[in-house]
Amino acid sequence: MIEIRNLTKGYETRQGRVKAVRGIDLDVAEHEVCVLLGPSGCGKTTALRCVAGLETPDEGEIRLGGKTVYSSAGGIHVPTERRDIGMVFQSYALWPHMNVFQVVAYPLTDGRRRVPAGEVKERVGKALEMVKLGGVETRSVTDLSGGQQQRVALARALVAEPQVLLMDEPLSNLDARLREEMRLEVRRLTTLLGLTTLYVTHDQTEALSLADRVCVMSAGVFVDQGKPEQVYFSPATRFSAEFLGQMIFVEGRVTGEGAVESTLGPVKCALPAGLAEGAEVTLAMRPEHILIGAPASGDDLAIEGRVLDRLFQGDSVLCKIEAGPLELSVLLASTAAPAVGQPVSLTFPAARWIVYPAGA
Amino acid sequence: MSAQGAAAASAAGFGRHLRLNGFGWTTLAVVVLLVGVPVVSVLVMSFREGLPGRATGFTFANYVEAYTDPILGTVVLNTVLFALTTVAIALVFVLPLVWLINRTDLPFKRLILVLMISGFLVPSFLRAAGWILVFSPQVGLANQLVQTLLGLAEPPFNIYNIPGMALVQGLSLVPSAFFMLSAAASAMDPALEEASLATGASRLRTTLQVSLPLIWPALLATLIYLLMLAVSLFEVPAIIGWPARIFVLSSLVYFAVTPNTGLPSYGLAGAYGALMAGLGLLLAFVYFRVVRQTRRYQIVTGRGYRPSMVPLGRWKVPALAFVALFLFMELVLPLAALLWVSLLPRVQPFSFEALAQVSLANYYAIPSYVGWEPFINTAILVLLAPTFAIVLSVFVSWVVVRHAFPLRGLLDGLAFLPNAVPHILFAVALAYLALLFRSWLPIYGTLGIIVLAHGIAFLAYGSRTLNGAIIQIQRELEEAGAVCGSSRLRVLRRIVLPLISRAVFNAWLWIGLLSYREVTIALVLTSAGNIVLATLIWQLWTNGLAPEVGALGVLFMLAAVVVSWLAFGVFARALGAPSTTSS
Repeated sequence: MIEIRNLTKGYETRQGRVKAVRGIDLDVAEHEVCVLLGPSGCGKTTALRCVAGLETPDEGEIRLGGKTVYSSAGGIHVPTERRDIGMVFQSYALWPHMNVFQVVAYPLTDGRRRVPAGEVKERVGKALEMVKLGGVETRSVTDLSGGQQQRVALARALVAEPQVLLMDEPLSNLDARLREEMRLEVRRLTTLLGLTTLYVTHDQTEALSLADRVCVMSAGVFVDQGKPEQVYFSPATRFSAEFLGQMIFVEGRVTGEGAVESTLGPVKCALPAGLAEGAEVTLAMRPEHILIGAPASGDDLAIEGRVLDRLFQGDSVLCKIEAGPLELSVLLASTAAPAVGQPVSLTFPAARWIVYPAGA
Repeated sequence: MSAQGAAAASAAGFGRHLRLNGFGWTTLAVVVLLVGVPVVSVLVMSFREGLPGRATGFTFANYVEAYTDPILGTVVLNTVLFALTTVAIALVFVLPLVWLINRTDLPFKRLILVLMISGFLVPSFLRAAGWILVFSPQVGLANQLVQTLLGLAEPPFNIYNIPGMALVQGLSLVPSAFFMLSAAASAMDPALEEASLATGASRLRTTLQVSLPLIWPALLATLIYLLMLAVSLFEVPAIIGWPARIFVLSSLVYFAVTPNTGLPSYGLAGAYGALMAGLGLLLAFVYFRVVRQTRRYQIVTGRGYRPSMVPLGRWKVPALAFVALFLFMELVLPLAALLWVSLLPRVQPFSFEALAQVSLANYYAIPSYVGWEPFINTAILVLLAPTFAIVLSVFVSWVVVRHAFPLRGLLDGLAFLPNAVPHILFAVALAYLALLFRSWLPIYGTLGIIVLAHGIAFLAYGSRTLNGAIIQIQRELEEAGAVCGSSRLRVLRRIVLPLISRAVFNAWLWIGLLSYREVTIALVLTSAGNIVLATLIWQLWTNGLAPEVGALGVLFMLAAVVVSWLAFGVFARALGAPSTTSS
């Protein structure tokens, strides 16, 4: 449904030309929700805006539903208003001089697919119903709360039933509680409507919970992509490992088949192919996989540590633990958390190690 | 890629460029035609002799005539002296006023502002006429009064000199300068000053070390802007300067095209005009440099702040007296003089004998010596000129602020030109062009050419104002329209225009008022068929009909004040209310 080939886009800045997007390729299948995840300045929003036609790429090709909307080689650039898209902006971009009905009706009254007045009314009603916002049609958009504005923006993007839905950090202006609620809402809508969605965010929780597929971006390229579980549990690069959540890293050297001599001591783990004996590697593990005070078995690595500090958070306690050269933060159930200064035994399950060649 | 493919791609690329920048190129073409062509034609006419259409080929004769005439040195010196004194006088009044109104607890601020704007609506030439009626050595009311009271042999006051001209002109520029500086002052974050006060620095030290440096670029920009105006203005130097044979560049240009005897010499006007335009462009260049500097300071955040007000305490009375003196000189004195002579059969000082002759006869007589035509023409002018200027400004500002049009800088600069190049030159150039192309476009001598000239002259004001308004609209609001499938023009109509409607209306009204009181352009382009009130009053004055000028002038003023009071929006904006809001 969305096909991107070798998309490149640079900007002129005072320091010269900066490449925001450096040749990315992407295929988003019909009904798929694809999330571009990355820190600010990684080029994800630029890529999305190129798909929307709000930016003109320097190079590459973009096809929506099989129709080429941009091609540098073919000299094609279909303007935004003629692309079959719906979009939710970070700022919502609701027109302050209109009421809710007028905003949501706009794509049907002034957009590419205009419909008769009677149908406008019906479809706006349906769209507002869908985002659970019935009964506010005549209110001014500026009188609505942040969450309600978000829903109006969604309804406007959906009302014309576009082929492709684009969302640019839509939840980043909401407070934490609302963000969680809206995350579920967006997930419900994309699943319900089977929308092909390209979603941009810097929030890894949002990305993991909404996506069918996550593409992790850094410095204008994809450094990892796959299903949420895949990129979370076995990130392809150290960058995506760190970006997707807490991760501890241990340096080491391969000493044999499935064996690494690390700064924590000898470690048994599954090595990726192509790592010869003596190769420098980085071992990684998510802190939540480390077992505290549990018996080690088989190939697991067990070491002793000491609680440096603890942060009571209600349902959990964040413990800062020192173990050999490592200092790690582990989230523990608040009923079972050790006191400050107490020694603890840490077990690193062998199956949970992720191994990167050094420098990756 | 084959050569053919490359050609096809580049042709397609060109097509795409045209589609993306269609508005940009169209707007640029219109602005080049309306602004660029007249400016260039000033140069063209300076190198030709004879009347438009019957001119000789390329010649330096005009320059030789203009620049070997020894009078030019005096005139240039007059112009510079007049401009500098004018700006100095304006600053003497405006700096305390800006501070008093924006940063102190001075009472009656609203009233003062309303009066100041009313004063702004008095055309400078009427103010000059009022001052002449009071301080002329021959007929001056004050002169005769003081002379009689003190038994002097000579009239004590004389307005017919450069300081006299500069005083009247300087007073006329105070309101514009006040609003420019107030905008900068009210956009300054008071936290910057509070931070200084919090460190224990005194108010004086804070003012000198923090406030002044912060506002300095805005002050400098205003100063250059005033200078730009002062070298180009025509009304006051003409009304006060002519009788005293004191000429400045603008009056030389006017004389060249409207001589008392003989044929108009557009060539000579062009030769003087080239000097004026050069001076204007130089100042405009400096102005832009300074304005860029202002942006670097980033004190203008677009937010309106409510800074703490300095209590005046026992200085309240002297401060009010200062403001009252200014308002008296700017508004009350000239108006009172006009009102007084309008009630009498001839100019005479205040006396019981004169009081006995007071009547409204001059007012009743207006229809008999004016007729209806000037009223109708004026009404048409003040409706059409701002409409024309605003429609053009909307497109210019929209392209300049929002489009990725590669030449938008040029477009912005061209739209600013009517501020840099004196209005009188635009009028002369348009007259020249209209005569040259009279068989294709017969607008010479019609009201249409005045409307056109005013539209061009106020394009600078319109596009400056709307640039500011459009910048305030969040870009995503427009992008959302495109995403919904609206064409650019539809986005402009359905989203941009409604969001800047208040700024558009204010600018329209304001340009209408400027157009109403503007006399220079209409005077150069005037003929029997397109007399407007401003030119009529001017002609009555130059014919020495002071009582009639008084009656018509008072009515003229009253109409302007009433209209603008009714349209309170102008005042609300001047009082610092934001003209548009983004989401």
